[in-house]
Amino acid sequence: MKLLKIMLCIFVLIWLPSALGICVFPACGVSSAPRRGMTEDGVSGSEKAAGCPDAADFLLCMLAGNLLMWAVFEAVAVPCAFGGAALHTVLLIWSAVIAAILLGCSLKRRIFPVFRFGHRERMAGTACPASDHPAGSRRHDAEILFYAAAALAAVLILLQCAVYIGGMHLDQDDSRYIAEAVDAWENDRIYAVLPQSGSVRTGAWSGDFIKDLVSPWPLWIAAASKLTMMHPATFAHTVCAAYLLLLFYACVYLIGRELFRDSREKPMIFLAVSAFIMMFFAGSLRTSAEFTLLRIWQGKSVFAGVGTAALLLEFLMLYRYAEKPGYGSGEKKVFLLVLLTGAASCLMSGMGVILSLIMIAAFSLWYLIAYRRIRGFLILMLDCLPGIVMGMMTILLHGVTG
Amino acid sequence: MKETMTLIWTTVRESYAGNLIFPLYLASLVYLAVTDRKNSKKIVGPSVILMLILFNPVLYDRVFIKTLSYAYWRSLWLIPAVPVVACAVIRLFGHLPARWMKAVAAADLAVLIVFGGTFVYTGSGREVTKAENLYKLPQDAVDVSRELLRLSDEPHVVMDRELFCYTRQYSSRIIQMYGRDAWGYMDDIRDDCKAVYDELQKQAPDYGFVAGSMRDQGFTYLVQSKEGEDQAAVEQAGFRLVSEIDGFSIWELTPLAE
Repeated sequence: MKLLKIMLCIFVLIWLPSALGICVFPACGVSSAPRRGMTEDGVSGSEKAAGCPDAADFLLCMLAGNLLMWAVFEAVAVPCAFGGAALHTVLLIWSAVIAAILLGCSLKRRIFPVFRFGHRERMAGTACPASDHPAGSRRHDAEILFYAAAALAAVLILLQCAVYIGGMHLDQDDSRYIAEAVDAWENDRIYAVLPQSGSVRTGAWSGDFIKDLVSPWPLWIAAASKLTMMHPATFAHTVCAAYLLLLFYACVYLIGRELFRDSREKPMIFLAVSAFIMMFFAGSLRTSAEFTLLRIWQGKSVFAGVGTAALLLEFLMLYRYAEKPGYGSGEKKVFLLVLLTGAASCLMSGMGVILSLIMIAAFSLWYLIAYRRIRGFLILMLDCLPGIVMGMMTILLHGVTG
Repeated sequence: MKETMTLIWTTVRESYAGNLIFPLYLASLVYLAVTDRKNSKKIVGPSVILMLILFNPVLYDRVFIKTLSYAYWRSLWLIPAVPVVACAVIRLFGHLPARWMKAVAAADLAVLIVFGGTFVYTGSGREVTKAENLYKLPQDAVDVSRELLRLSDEPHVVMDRELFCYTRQYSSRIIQMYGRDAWGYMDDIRDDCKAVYDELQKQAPDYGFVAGSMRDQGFTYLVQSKEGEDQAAVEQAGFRLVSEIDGFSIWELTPLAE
């Protein structure tokens, strides 16, 4: 039984998002690594770029796949919850949509959704920092730095994961979120009872239930628990927490690769330094580090960690693309990623609805001012649609219920 | 305007209390703007725009306070403080010519971050203890929940305040008279339920009142800590002790004699 649960976890948390990432975003819109004489959309076009490691591509696939899963779940769960559907209905529809996407993209692109390390297909999103270290002692120093930084980052991140796996942080907000997830998981129903007491919820959607309707992250926990055959409390507090933390640091590493495209060791140092700072970025119980390192299974914390990091990464990628004229397929895929992140942010939290809009607006404004990409800016405004729709829905529901 | 700016500044100060990240972030922005044109265009520019939006007093009054209300401080999560500081640190190391200078700078920065910051796993509200079970719930809450479910398929319980945040995370079949709503969170608690909660917090609760209210609302079990419990008073009110687990008593309300 334990082995089955482990295999299901691997399927739901690793294979499925990476398969979706590969299928929907093959090489993140750029289908081939730069070859001699070939211009490469979104990549430097340099032959040096051909040697970029696959790990970053895999990480971007995982991120893209998770964002897609969450965005689809938001699109399915909100109307189902509003219509009083059962959890299994949400799960069936979501699974059908995900399966259709996988099958359709696999057939269209003739890709078997298994990540092939060493394959020349590359993700242009964070592709290919040139590994052109100077020969001799400087290259040796760079190698040492890379491995030292990797070791430090691994120790810090694994320590933080170990805290999630072996430690216990009690948060009273879970008396709502996890209780809602457990009720959905146990009784196959959605928001039918008050989470604190279990008494039947009567009347129209009101108060905090409006937030839970628009941002049904507890339902995602319940659904994923069904898929992995785990108790929602176990899944959320242990498996999901460690997984989301690793996903967060994957985003951080990819951000480092965007900022330091000319180096192999600097992104790793960036990751190590970030992991170190995060551990001492506490004090008020309000910092993003406290939410990310102590209770990342909660929707608002997922936004504070993964959501904001993903948006930052995507805009760094867009700024890189904007340095070249025209709009390549790689850039278009990143616009799609921003849309998915906006939708996924709505799933995570009511805060995610508003805050993702603010972040997209701010970074898009810079995109317009600094790079003068009007068409791209308009596309980014369209990417705000999920947040706008969910925001308006929240206002309408509050208005109707008074 | 001045009042709004004071409110905004207070929020920033309170949210970043206990660490030096915000001043380091501002210093890093300036450093990158001056020394790293490439990254400053990508990260400094948008960071400044973001701060102009978040700290804008007009937007604060007209938008943020209405949409974010008590949680305006969460908008500070958007500020990319950690990536900016990390980027500046790497640029600084790149500008230092000698290895020993880089080592000294690394040590100094580590000391600054450690002693100027607060460790995330210690302190009030951030406690992390060894997991007592796979659910990551207090073991006594799990044990009491299991015992209640052994006694009844759907036990209706007046739960002790130490447990009521956790029992329904174990199973939704446990129906409680109140939970965290007794403390004013989320749902509005009914007056009769609040009255029972208030009564049970007294030094010498009137168990007769509690029993009467439980009968009226269809609740059968009372779970409370054994510490300071007057068992005689509880029994006199019509309860029968059915179990004792992990320092908690589980009482069953006996039916009224016909």
